[in-house]
Amino acid sequence: MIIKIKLHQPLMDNDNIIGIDNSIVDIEEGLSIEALAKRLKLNPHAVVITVNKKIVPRERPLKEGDKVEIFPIVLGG
Amino acid sequence: MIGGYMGKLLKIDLTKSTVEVEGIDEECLRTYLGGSGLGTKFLYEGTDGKTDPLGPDNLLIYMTGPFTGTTVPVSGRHQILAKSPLTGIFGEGDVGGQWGVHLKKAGYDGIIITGKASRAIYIYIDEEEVKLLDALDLWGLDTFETDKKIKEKHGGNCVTSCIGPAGENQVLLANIMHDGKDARAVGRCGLGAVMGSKNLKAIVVSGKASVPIANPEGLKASIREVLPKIVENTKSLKLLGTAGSLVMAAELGDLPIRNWKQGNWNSVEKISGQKMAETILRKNYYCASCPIGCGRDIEIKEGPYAGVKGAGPEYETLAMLGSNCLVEDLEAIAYANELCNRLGLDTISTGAVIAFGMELYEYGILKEEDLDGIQLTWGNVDALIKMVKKIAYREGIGEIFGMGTKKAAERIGGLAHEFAIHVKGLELPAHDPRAFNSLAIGYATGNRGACHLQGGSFFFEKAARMPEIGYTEQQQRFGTEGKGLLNFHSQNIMGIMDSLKLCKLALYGGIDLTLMGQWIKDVIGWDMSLEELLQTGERIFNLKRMYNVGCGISRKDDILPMRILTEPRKDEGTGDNLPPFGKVLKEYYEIRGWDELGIPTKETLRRLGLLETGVEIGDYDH
Repeated sequence: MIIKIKLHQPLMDNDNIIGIDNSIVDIEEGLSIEALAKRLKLNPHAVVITVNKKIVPRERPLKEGDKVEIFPIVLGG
Repeated sequence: MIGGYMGKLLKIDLTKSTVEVEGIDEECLRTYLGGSGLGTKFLYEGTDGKTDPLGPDNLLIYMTGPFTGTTVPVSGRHQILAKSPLTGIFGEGDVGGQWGVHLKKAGYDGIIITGKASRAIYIYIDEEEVKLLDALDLWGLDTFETDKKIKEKHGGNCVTSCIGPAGENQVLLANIMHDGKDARAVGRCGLGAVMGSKNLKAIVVSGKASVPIANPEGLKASIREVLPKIVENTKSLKLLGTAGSLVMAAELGDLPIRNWKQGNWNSVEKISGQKMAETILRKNYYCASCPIGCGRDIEIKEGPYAGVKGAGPEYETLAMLGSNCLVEDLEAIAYANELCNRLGLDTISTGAVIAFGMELYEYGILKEEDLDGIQLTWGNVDALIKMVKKIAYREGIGEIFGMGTKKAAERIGGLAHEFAIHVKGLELPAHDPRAFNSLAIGYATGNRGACHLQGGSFFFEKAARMPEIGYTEQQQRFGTEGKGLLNFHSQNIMGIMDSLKLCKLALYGGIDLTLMGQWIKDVIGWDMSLEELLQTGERIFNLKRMYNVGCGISRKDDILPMRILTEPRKDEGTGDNLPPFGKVLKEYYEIRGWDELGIPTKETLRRLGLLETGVEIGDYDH
């Protein structure tokens, strides 16, 4: 199953995940957003993930053609 | 002529019902910038250690900054200052929204209010006139109703700064609310009680004039350059608001849980920014000139809290009314948040004093009969909501809790002080010095009491940088080294931002001292060196300190609650860590040019130009 992933600054500088920015990725069916974050060696609570520009529940399985964007959380407020 | 300022101040005496317009000279503006700095100067000159915060002689000062009302990103802000009735020392608050922009566009940089009206009034200001109007029909209304009624009378273009019943009742936790349902708060220090003590319900402003800009083309170019970076680096704030960091804060050991006693809490995801976005979020709210949009606009359509509509809870509110009270119902917190906004209560201090009460109940220091029959158990939503109302109306136990944790502990006596988590009477905001060591000194020496936004050091232990003063990389959140110097720099920088009027969240977007200097040049027309800018921040901080010295503040007050200093959280984020204190405080005093009692030396005051501006250094021999 093919999805698209875009990583936003400063995630792109993370050595662990360089190489997949703006990439088309082949994943197994049923993989959740949270599991995808872990697959990318990201702390799911340290990032915000949108699917097709929307916030969706993290346990939701990804679908073919989904466009996933990942942003680092800014701590504060 | 310089840009950035309207060049006029309103001076209003409510006792005499007089309104005067005064000019401000350029040297004074350059020395204190505006906002917090200029307001501090006026507060210092007009009040002192003997002033009764709730008496007619206290001043209530509204100040904009030179960037307010311009296109400078994140500048739609203003400052309110007064001697705090909660702490008895220097009090101020910074707020975003639309109000400050309208005041500026009505032609004024600020308002200084003294005296006490003989009956309930409100002030109306536009480009043509300033009127003191009868507020009898507004008195008793909540802040949303007040805003609505004022708009019905004066039209939709005006914006309101007002108090709710808590301010009218002079509750020491009362805030000043802005922009109706958008609910922008000057929350801290009980400044709403000062407004109430003056019989002043609201200040309504409406303005359309342009703020003069020294170099419009230059300003446009510099904004164009930085804007994409601000937007990109703060996307998480746009998507989830400040609440987006709640779960991560818990993981780091930064989130207060169970009155700062507990390390881990399994329920944090139930009240997170992610959960809010999945359920009750309608859209973003943007302050004027803000490209970030961290504000939450929510609606609850069904269930026991149906009808909540407008501003949603921020990080601080979710922490203080939520995790710190072990409340794990997001919609209940949103309801309590709206209740606080309507009644005019600071959600940080209100949450803190209720958590304090819950712990006293747990240990049997307060019993059901002391609490008007309420079982104030951890996580008890109904009890939380009842307490909010009791505090606002000073009913029963609410009379005592409404004094804040410090005074409430004094009244309750016994061991109650052990559970009162405050510095100088101001309850700690929702960031833990055991997770970010530098916060310890920042809280202890904060001029309004414990405050992360006036200390600001932990921004640099996270994603913010300030290359001009050597902070090119993330600072370590633990350890001792450099924490005194970091606080010196960050407190001064926060003072600069509060005076120019810039939101601190923009530090994550790449706004730095160079850019501030550039915008000072483009907006005002001054060539201000980095050295002059930093010294201005240092001057402002020291003037606030000298105000507090006049109120009896010294080293003995620069301390943290013993729970924070001696009890590790024992969680995954912080383990056994405790913030280093004595050594760092000593280092900090030395860097500041203060003596061993924490009082600025004559030499320091001379270097900052504060001796010449009339600061009295008292009887202590330097």
